[in-house]
Amino acid sequence: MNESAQPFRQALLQADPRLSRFNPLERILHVDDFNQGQHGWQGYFPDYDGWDDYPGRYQPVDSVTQSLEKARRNPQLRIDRKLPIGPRGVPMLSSLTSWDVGTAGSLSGTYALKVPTLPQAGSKVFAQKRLGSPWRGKFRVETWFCFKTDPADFQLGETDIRALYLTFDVMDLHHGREQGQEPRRWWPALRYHNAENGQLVRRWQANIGSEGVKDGAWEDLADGQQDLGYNRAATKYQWNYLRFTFDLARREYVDFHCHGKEFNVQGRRHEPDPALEGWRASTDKCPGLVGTGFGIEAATDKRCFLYLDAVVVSASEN
Amino acid sequence: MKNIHAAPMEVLSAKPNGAFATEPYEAGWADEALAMVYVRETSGPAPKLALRAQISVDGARWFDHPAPPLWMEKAGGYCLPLTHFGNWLRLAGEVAGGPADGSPAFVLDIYWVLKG
Repeated sequence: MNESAQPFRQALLQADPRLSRFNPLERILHVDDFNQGQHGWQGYFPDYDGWDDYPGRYQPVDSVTQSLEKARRNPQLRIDRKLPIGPRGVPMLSSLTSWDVGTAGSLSGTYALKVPTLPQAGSKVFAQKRLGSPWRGKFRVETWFCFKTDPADFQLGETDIRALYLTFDVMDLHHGREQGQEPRRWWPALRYHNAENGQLVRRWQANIGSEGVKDGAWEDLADGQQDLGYNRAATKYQWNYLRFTFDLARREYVDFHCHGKEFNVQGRRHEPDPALEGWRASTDKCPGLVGTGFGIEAATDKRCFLYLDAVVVSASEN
Repeated sequence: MKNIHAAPMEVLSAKPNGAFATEPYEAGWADEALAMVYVRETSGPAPKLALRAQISVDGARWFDHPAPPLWMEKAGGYCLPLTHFGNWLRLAGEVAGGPADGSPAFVLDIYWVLKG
């Protein structure tokens, strides 16, 4: 961007009540305001081709029948492989309505996107959207979020929430092959490890796994400790700002900020051990994908809720 | 232009004899809610499923919406149209006449289709 245009752009953003609380890069790709609709944030469903096997089927993924069979045989199947049969937690537009104060509404209006778990320890639910950018510099996701448990028992429930997630499945564009660069896939992802065994942990982690972006393994950030606002009643919602940026060309983290704390993630890469291999490493059919997920995991048999007030996605050309 | 949203509450869900309820769903933005149910399979001597819409002010205390319940006995599509439901919605089901060994009497898909 022209240097003299930068202060003017900054002044425009800061004077815009909708965007002033965000800090988008030069190309704003999406402003998902949940007062206007759900903007395509939906539940997770694994890859498949065909209900049953058929000639010419895309073999790397299962048919629905194969997927079903695997999910029935192995209830512990990883979330990115497991077909969600039976009751599910599905993302929805919430007005944050409870018995005591009625409708609290979201931070910027009436509705927020709610991601609910099932009332089941280990239940992990994501709101998912397949993003991407033609500008292959930096990629930034910002949101205001809060998290609570089901207030039906009137208890605070803070330690019933095991973790919050922001995960990305990132794939290079394919025309790099013309310059001899083989496209790569990587998984920048953050997890807020909120509680374990009834104790608060409150630590940010980054994904180092090679088995799936939503299932880790996770490494604590050295400066990852952060007490997030939860508030003092099951029906009091307190919002936190989050910004995460990574570089699509360099395949590395750029910055991560959560509600007043800047974490040292610059230059971090996703270096899975063991390395992604075969189908897991492939970018086939998905060049340029930035598959994005906001998630929450229950630590006990109680519903847990992640609320997003808005999501702003932006990119830079370099 | 109106918003529309289809929420897949349960897909390929197996229901033996007994009671169940779908997960709570908030639909305050919608003027109308249509529960759409596909019964894929039935089993047992005389499978019957009664499905009622329930509402709640807070997502915790539920009671029946005045709309008449859906009765299902065989495979096919069924729908339950609702207006004046407030914000919180769920479906409460009661299955009878299925296999006595506790295996599923119904395999079904349940969606909310919302518009407003």
